[in-house]
Amino acid sequence: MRPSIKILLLALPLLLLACGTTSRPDGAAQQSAKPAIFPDYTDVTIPHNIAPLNFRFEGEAERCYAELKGADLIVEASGKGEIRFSEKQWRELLEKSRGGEIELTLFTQSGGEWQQWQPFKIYVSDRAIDSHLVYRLIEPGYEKWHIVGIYQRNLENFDQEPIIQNNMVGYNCINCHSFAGGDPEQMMFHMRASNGGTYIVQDGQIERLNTQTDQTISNLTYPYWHPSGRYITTSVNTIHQFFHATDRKIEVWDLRSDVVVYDVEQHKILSKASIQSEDNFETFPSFSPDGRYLYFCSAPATEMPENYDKVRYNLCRVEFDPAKGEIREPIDTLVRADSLSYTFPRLSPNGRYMMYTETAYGQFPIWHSDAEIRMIDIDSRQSIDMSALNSPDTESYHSWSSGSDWVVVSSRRDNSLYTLPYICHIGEDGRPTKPFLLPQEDPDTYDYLLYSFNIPELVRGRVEVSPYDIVKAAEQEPVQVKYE
Amino acid sequence: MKNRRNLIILLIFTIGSALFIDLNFRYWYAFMEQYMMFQTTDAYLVRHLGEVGGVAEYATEFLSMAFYYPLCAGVIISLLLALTSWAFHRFISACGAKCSMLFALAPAFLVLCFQQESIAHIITLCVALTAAMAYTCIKPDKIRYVVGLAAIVATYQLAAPAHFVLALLIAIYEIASSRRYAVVASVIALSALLPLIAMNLLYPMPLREAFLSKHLAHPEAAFPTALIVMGLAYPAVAIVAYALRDKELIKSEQLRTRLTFGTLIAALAACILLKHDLMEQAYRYDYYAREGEWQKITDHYHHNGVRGFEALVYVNLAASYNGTLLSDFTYTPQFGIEGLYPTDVKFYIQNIQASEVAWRIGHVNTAQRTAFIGTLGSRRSIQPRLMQRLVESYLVTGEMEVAEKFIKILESYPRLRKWATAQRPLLDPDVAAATDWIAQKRALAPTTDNMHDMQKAFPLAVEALIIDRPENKAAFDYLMAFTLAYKDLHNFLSYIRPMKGKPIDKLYQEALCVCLAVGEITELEAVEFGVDEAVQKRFASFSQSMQRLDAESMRKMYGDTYFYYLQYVQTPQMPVNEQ
Repeated sequence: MRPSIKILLLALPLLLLACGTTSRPDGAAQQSAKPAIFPDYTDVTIPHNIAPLNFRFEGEAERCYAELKGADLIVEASGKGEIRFSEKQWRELLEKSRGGEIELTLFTQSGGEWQQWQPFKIYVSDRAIDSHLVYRLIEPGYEKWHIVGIYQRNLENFDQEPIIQNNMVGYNCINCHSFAGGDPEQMMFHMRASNGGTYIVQDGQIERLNTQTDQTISNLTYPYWHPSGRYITTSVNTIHQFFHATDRKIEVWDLRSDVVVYDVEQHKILSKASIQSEDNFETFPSFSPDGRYLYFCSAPATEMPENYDKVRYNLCRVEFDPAKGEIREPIDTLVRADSLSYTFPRLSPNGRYMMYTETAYGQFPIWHSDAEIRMIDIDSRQSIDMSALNSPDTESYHSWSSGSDWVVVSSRRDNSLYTLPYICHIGEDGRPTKPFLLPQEDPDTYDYLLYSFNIPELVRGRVEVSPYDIVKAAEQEPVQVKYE
Repeated sequence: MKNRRNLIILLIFTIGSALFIDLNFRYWYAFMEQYMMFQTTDAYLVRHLGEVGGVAEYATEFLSMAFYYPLCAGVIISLLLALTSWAFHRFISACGAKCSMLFALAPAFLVLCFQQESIAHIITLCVALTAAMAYTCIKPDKIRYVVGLAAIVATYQLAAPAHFVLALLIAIYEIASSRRYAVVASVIALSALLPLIAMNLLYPMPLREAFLSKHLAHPEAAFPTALIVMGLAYPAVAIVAYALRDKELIKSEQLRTRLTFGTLIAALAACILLKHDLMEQAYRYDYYAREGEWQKITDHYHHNGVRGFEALVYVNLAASYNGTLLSDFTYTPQFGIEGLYPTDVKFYIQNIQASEVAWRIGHVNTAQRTAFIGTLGSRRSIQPRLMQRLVESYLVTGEMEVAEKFIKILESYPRLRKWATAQRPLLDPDVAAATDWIAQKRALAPTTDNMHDMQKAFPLAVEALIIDRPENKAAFDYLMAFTLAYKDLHNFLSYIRPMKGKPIDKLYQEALCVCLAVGEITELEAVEFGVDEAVQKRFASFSQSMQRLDAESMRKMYGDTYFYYLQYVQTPQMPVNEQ
């Protein structure tokens, strides 16, 4: 929905809301604990340009009142059971409190009596986060979908717009969006079923490609751009899934997989840059920020699906020559799979750290509750303690901000089924702080949302390509890529 | 006098159409009601306000909650059609045409004849016709034009594509009353441009949604021609009425009255007698299943037979709940897997059935997964009945956080709020463990993981379940019904061997008689199985009679036995994905 229309529609209830504001209660009974709120924003570190952290009180409350104290400024908000801050006041408070902290004190009224909860701090980083987050919203379903779309959310306010929604292109599957170095003007995604193909947005143009060749297992699948924008590395996979009879739900596995590099300018898959081997499953590639290394996961090939829970992926890298479009062996194993499996290698833009996902087996950890985020210093190969970021449930896909200060992580910690985006600050030393859930204007949004946030990618600005342009591109004949 | 007659016509139509809907389509509407979920949250209202045609959809979902109850669909639909027709009659009169209410009711009969998935189209038409009637009540021209243009914009946003119908009706009125062709051109042009403006100003949407809203029909299917015909019928009838305004086709008042009432009653009677829902039995059984009224399914089937696989699946499911799946085997038409469990899902009802059967036999993961698919595949991606199943399944598997999420969503749905709140205490794991139905489901669920998908490998999936849970009689009966339907005596024996020494159903004893006769088991084994002497004697008699009697006589004498089924009934064909 366009922001202007939303403003109009919300004007009336907000007006009513404003009429019901509360001032700071006197004589409230002091509580010894911090308040239980959702989302849990207690003691988190936030970027100074994030949208307001609206929340609701998890207990019984007729009224709530919140006081936010920052440097030289106090912001108040009140509501019935939930707190929504004025965007303008919030922005002002954060701007003044950059590099410092703000203290939130919550008062709640229950049975006519006010309680004052222990205040908690929110640390306001001096470092901004990239302005937009792009993700796919898809039901955490099984083999069917109805509405699927790729959306962009402005992190500085609550605006969400579709980049493309499948109701405009024949209710197909849209997936695997990726950006070159967080540049919103260089983007790709796939469509499957009707209007199938890989769509590359670059220099204001949209190109539709048919990426199936005789020499590759499948269409291009899981992508990652080279920082130059000249190449995209992707996996090619024969993907299968089955459904568990007990406990776990779904298992996604590859019958075969390889890693290839696609030359965007020449429309060619480069054999000299590709890692195609029947002896191994290679997948989930990425490039280093300087473009000199190709990272990927690799596991010895085995009978599938019988050995689905015995496949363990190493994290590897190989030198890549961007001038020639070739890789240069040997392949270096950075993280060896012993009893665990590793996937989604992603280097921080400053080149210092490699973040990845660890799970008991396989390479598709979103359905594995043991999946956790790990990180190593790329030079020393030392592990960084990521326990502050992880939870007892699934942490899976992750994306770095352009400044290497923030990551967005896909997590199922809230209910083990719906994947939600958590934002986490990464310090100079690589250590994470407590992550916080992407704020929504209505704190109840996640409760009623029947979609998961899939592949959250931070981008440095608004994606300007219009859904109608994508629809037009979908009507073009696809360009056939070659294999060389 | 004429007013009174028109009122009586309207009353007869209202009662007749209510009867028609309730007698012929009650279960269709009750079935489709479960694919909507009106929510009492602000966010739900705001979302609909922002969508093209959203308010009409909001009203549709609100009113449709009542369709779950008897008579309500008929009453609501007939009242909406009556209001629409009354407004249309007033509109026609305002155009200067004189016609009876029967004429104005003609398009309403189209609506009755072509049932849709919801009543969104009826509400849309009601909005258009009421707005058109109100338009004609504004006498000052300039005010009327401005209000008319504003009404077109408003009806577009609130109830698209009502604005098209309204624009056409306004055009007809202006031609009839004032010949202001500039106004006519303006309203037509505005109604055509509005969708294009909306696509650029409101939010990105497909062309079809912009013009016709996404709420009238499933957006993935072709737009029903019947809806276009219904929408255009009103302007068409108005034009005809206006063209005939100076003509008196039947001069005799008495004849006119008789013809009018005779036609009306004949049309309503024809609808009631001739226009049926072909899936009525399946939807009726779905309704009973929703209520857990399994005996009603069995009783109805015994009186009426069964039409269609969808109904048959429920017949067998009801038999399973009533403990008669095996004893009814020879009475129930056997089509193998297609009558037991839907593997090739094409229709909404089949996802529900897949979840129900899986739930019955204790395959909780499959019940959960098919409940999800049944929700995703629906037009609105919502299905409160299957969401209830999701709550139940997550309570059984102990995934309390996600169960709570669905409970909260269902609490915003007035019809299931009470049920949802009543589940909250079960979110406590200790309370759940001590709750009978949860404990029973947990006692039936598989404990050993496997990859067998009930959709693709029904016998393997159920067999794996029985290996874990030999005491799971429901699953065992389903597996045996499957096996015996396909006359697979080899697998039948492998499943029944562990039951030596235990009492076994008559159906199994009859199958064992055949196994003995063909040498698949020995006499000793037959004794160990405890095959009753009476059953053996009957089999011997059957074997002798086969030489002498024709098939029909054999059916009369032995049609209730498995050996008759084995010998005389055509073996169902196994679907490809099960082979």
